[in-house]
Amino acid sequence: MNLTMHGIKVLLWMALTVYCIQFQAGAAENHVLKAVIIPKIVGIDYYDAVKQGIDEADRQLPELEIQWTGPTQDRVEQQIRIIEDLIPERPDLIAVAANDPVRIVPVLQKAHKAGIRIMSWDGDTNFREFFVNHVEYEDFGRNILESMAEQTGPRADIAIVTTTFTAPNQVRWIQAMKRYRREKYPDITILDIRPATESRERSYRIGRQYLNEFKSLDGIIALGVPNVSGVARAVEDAGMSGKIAVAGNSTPNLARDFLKRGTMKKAVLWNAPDHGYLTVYCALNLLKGNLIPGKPFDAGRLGRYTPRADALNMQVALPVMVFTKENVDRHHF
Amino acid sequence: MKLSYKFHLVALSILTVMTLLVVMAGTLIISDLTHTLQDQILYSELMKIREKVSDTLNHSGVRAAARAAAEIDAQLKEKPPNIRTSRMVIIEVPDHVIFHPDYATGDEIQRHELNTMFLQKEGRINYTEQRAEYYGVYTTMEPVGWLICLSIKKKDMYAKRMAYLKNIGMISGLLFLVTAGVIHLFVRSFDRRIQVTLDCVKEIENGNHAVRIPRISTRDEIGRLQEGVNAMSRKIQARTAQQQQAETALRTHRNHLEQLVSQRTAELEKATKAAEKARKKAEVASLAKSEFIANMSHELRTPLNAILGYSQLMQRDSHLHAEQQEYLNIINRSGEHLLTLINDVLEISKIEAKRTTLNPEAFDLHVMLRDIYGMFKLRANEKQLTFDFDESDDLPRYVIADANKFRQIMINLLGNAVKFTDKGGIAVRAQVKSKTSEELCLAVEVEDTGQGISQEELKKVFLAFEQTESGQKKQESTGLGMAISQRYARLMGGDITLTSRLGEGSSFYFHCIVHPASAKDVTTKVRQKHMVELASGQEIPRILVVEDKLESRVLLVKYLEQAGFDVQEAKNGKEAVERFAQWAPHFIWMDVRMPVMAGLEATRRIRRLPGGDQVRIAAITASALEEERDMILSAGCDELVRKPYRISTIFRIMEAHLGLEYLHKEEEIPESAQGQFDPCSVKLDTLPAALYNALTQAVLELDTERTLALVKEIRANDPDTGAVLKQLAENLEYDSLLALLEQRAFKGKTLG
Repeated sequence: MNLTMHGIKVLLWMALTVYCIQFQAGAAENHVLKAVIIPKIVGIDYYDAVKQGIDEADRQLPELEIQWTGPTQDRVEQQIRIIEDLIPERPDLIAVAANDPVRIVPVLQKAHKAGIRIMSWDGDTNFREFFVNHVEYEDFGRNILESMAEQTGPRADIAIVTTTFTAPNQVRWIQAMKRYRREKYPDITILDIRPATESRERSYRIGRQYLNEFKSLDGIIALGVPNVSGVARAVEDAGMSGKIAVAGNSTPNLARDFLKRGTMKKAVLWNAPDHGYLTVYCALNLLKGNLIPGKPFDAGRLGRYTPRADALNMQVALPVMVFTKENVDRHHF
Repeated sequence: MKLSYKFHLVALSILTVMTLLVVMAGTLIISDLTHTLQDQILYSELMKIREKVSDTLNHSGVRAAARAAAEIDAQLKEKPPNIRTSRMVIIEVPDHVIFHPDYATGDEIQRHELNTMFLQKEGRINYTEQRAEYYGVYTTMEPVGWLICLSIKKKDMYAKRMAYLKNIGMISGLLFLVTAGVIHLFVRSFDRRIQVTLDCVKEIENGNHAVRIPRISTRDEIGRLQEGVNAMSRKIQARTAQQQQAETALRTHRNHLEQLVSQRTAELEKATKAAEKARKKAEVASLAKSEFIANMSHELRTPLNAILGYSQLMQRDSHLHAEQQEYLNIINRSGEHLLTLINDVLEISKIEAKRTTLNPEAFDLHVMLRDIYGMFKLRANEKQLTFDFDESDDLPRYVIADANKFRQIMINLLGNAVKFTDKGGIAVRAQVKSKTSEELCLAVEVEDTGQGISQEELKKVFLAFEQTESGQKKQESTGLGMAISQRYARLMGGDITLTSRLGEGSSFYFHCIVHPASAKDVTTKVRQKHMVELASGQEIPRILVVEDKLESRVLLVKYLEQAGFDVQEAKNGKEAVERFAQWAPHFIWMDVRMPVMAGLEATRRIRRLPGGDQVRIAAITASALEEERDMILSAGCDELVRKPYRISTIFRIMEAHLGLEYLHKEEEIPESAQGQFDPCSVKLDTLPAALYNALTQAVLELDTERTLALVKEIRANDPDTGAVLKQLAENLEYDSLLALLEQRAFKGKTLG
């Protein structure tokens, strides 16, 4: 009897010990990392498509909680205010698609000092630990110029409509195009580059100006998703469809009609949901310390990606995606 | 160099240096300012360009931006000159021309300085293009990578600087000239005022004290200096006037003083002359005194010599009866006494004339003291006085001193003590007072219980020709004894002092300095006692006696003839010379003082004659003066004998000079012990007491007759002792005789 009581006591102590260990292990497993992903703007199709990828990844990664928040206008001031408000909440990570790579730096430094990991995606910044690029700039520039040259031939006068001269993506793409032009198409002349922000109306107007001003014009490259449709419409309206080549980056939704009507032969972009998806995986891996230049990491259904070192630290990018009238209906964003 | 020149030089130097410094500093400052200003202008222009180009680009695109750049470039040409020539360049990285004055948009450009600018993105650059130097500011528009550079030729950039520097130079030069002018004017005025002051000072220096500086316009330092000079001039004028007055007064005083001085000098001269006269008179008197004494001594000694001599000769005559002998004794005694008196007088006068000298010799002090003790012991006994003679143990035996003077002092002191003491006794204490390796001080105290001397008379004791009351009563001496003794003592480095109380006795204290000696220093004197004739078997020497005084001449001739010499005589020097020439004597006795021809002159002449250098000449003089000796010897004399001489001296001198041998009646008596003879050879011990006492008594009383009678009695019993005593008695050597007699008492004392 006595022996039984003693045995019970021993068992009870052992059970208590095991419970404690399990409780602590469970607590460790149940700890959810929190990442805030800020787009340039909310409420447009493009970022809705990106959001699909984010949500998909979010679902796949229970240890990571994603908060999606962004400005209603593509203005850096709003992004700065959003980050300022986020700092007291102490999320584990902020991934921002910066509207201005320079002006956003101070608030990012402040957040970083507060212990928040900083990542950029979509729009790069001058302060970050990692950048999830859409595509490699050189690749993208080459693809766009190549699609133009397919239509105009190696000897042509072209003009470019860009978003702004401060938007790093467009600036880098243009620089990549220029490098590629000098290397492969020295007889293609860039007559002018004009900014249209991301506005269909402005790009339409600039398209019309180009058509009027440059009689030798053979093609127009439009950078910025809405601008491609603006320029294509200007060409169509001028009755120059098929005669003036139009190339650029565009979403499948905006490029679909012009591809089908032949105003455009090709539209290049990246897979927006994939970009969101990749961003979430990068965020998780950054928090886990898995992102090292030259060392592949697992990016879910996208397979393995390898970060490369860049001027600041490192980045990864998606492959370029080319839409034609044949494949455009397979994508909806 | 004049002060104004110096002032000019210094001022111009300072001005030049300062101007140069100002220009240099201005250049540096202006260069820096111009550069900074130009740089800021350029930079500000660059920023404007950047803004405009950026705006245009962002608004209208690349081509519009290039156009805007061209417009801006055109506008620059209308800007102010310092920016007008600037060049603007916009290049897209890496080589794509957006705007360039010399290239079209889209051209490619390759310049090495572009790479620097692309790398730096923003800054300043210096570069050379087409041999022109450029200064540029640049910036890069990001992210498009457009480099905007605004540059300007340095020449244009610094054009303004040259203009500024020119202005500074001109202003500095102008200031230099104006300042130099002002300084010059100031210095000229300053110089003029200094010159005026200097002229005034020079005038004052030249004695024009009425001069003044006329215009003193300014109350600055020079003004005050000029006022000071004027004030000084006024004061000098006033003081000069005072000084002249004072000088006049002083001159008057000086004249008065000079008069007084000459007056006093005349008086003094008069007094000096009188004193000189008196001194000469005194000297003459002193000389006369010395002469007188010398003459007197001669005059007194010569007859005395005859008296003593003849009396002694006569005593030899055995035919004389007792009465005649007694008379002769009286003559002899009186003569000796007279001789003593004369000698004392002479001695004191010699001492006073400081002609007395010391003749130090080594002698046996113990023997001397013993002799003296012996000498006076008897006398003391006679008067029934106690006589204690105490010598300290450290008293040296052999000493060097003037033995004769020492003995004389002792005899005087003891003689006086015995003489003036009638009851009680006499004590003598001899000791060494102090001692060094070279000399020692002997002290002798003679204490008596005699009549003593009153305090009033104490001083008289040592005065010459003064006698104390008791001395006068005795009437036995000249009273010179103590004076001579004291002077001797002083001469010997000591003194004699006296303490006395009337009726209680006196105590004489004598001390003197002696030098230590040894036994070998003490020579044994041998005295030829009595010689009668020349020994046979030798050539009879020819002796010439030259003497003007008949008695003296005859006396000497007689002595010599008795002795067996061949003798001739001459009355004066002339005769002597003649006699020498004829007769060629071996020896001449030459009186010094003679009529017709003096002895020394005759000597000199004889020495010049043939054989004159062979002859021996001995001078005889009555002069007591020691300095005569040198004169006599230098005249050619070989020897000197003073009057009155003893005949034994005469024979001894001839013996020495002619190598003669005499036949002696008596034996030689060594003098060393008593200074006269050896008392040991005299056997007085065996003498009967009655006879001894009688002889002593006779000697003490200077009773010659009785003495000789007693001696004769002694000779019968003891011929040797008797002979000695007889000779002493005959030679009137009472002191020696007494000493000999006292020897027995001394021996008895030491033995007993």
